[in-house]
Amino acid sequence: MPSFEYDVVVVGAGPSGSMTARYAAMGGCRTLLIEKRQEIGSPVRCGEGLARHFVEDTALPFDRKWVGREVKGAKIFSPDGTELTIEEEHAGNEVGIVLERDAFDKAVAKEAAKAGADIWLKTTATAVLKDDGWVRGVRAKRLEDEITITAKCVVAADGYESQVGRWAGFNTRLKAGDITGTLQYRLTNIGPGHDFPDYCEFWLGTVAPAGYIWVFPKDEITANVGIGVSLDRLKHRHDIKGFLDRWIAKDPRMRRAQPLDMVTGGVSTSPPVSKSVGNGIALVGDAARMIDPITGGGIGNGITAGMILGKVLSTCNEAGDFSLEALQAYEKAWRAKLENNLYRNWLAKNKLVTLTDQEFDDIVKILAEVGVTKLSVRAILQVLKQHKPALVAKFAEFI
Amino acid sequence: MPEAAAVAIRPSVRDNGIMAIDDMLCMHCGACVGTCPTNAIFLNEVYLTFNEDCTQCGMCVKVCPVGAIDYPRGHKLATMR
Repeated sequence: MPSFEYDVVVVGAGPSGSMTARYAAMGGCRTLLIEKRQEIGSPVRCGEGLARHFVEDTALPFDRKWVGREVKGAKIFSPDGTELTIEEEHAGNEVGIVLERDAFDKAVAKEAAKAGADIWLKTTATAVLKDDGWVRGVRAKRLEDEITITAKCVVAADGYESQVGRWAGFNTRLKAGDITGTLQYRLTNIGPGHDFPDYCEFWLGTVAPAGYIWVFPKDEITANVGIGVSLDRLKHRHDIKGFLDRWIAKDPRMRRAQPLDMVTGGVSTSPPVSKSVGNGIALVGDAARMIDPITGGGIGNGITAGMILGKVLSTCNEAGDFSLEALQAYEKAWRAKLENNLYRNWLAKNKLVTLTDQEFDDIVKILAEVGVTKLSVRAILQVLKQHKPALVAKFAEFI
Repeated sequence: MPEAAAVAIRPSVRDNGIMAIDDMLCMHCGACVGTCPTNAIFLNEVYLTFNEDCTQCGMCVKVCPVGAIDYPRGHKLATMR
């Protein structure tokens, strides 16, 4: 069996994995980035919304190529059609840029390659090599060959599936209420209305039980139209597709709209994993459940954590120590930056999914009247408490 | 209705007695893999397989956005033709 040796092997060339590889390689690690598909970034599995600041935070060179459209902000629609507009400077985490994800993933991978990382495509990790409480590398299938890659540290950046972590003994299982199934069409020939295509739209209520429908514009007549529904609200095969198709059929703008592509995927809406590092292994991005439980957005958090991990790996490499204790620096740093927000949003999500259509209507109506200057769960709750305390009794502990 | 001259579509449902997968519907997105509580599903870019760890809990059946997974033939909850 052919065998290869690296300092760091990153499984999965999504944004988190590529960002980790980039910073690890920049810090002098011999880094290998493996990707099971034949093309990085394709097929796209994403709604493609991202806030601008993450790009600057991770020092990713800006390139028009991966920007599909820049939007003015977000619009939230309650079940009865009440519209709440939030301009971009207040919109917080998930809107600003609608990406071209395939180009974006390639751009991050390009930075990793420029920093000196090796990239292998069509290479699927099939097992982790364990020895005496340590992870020593991965076994993989590369084209037709079974190979082993030994590494001082394995980075599990394998996305929602999160199998590498599971093989290594991490508990990355999710409860049904913390799983969201998603389906998205890229629709074209969309008609005018609701200021399309200047805003990212979020449609709430029973149109998407315990989730939402999004419309993220890509150009003048094209948008990503998708749905996320919590698994515990699904009963039958095909349910998700039914919800989205029924909503599209009812929206007059979409009457003559036609699909250009179709995207599916799973999204975790759970708190982050309780433990993200072990001896010779670290989890990053979706694999570590870093997705925001309210918005379902994970690119920003993933590249932020990837950057932190890459830097920590560089220090570990200098000291020649990739033990659990040395990797704790990564765990501490990403938790300091992301965990509070993720955990609070998870708690808030668990309350949000209990709201009825009537309650959504009331809340959005009040917010539309008084205006929202800051889109954060806390800020919204405070506004509501001032105007209609009974509505937010469920959320008392967040205010 | 006119008669078809040739039928080129081969059977697309693979049923290994554990679960059934419609390969024509499957988008290889991995939603089922990350959802599976026993890690019984393995996916490469060409096909999806279930192993003996499967408990037929049905989470993958519901989470699959395109309905490509079903219980095996003969199971009382099977709906796939």
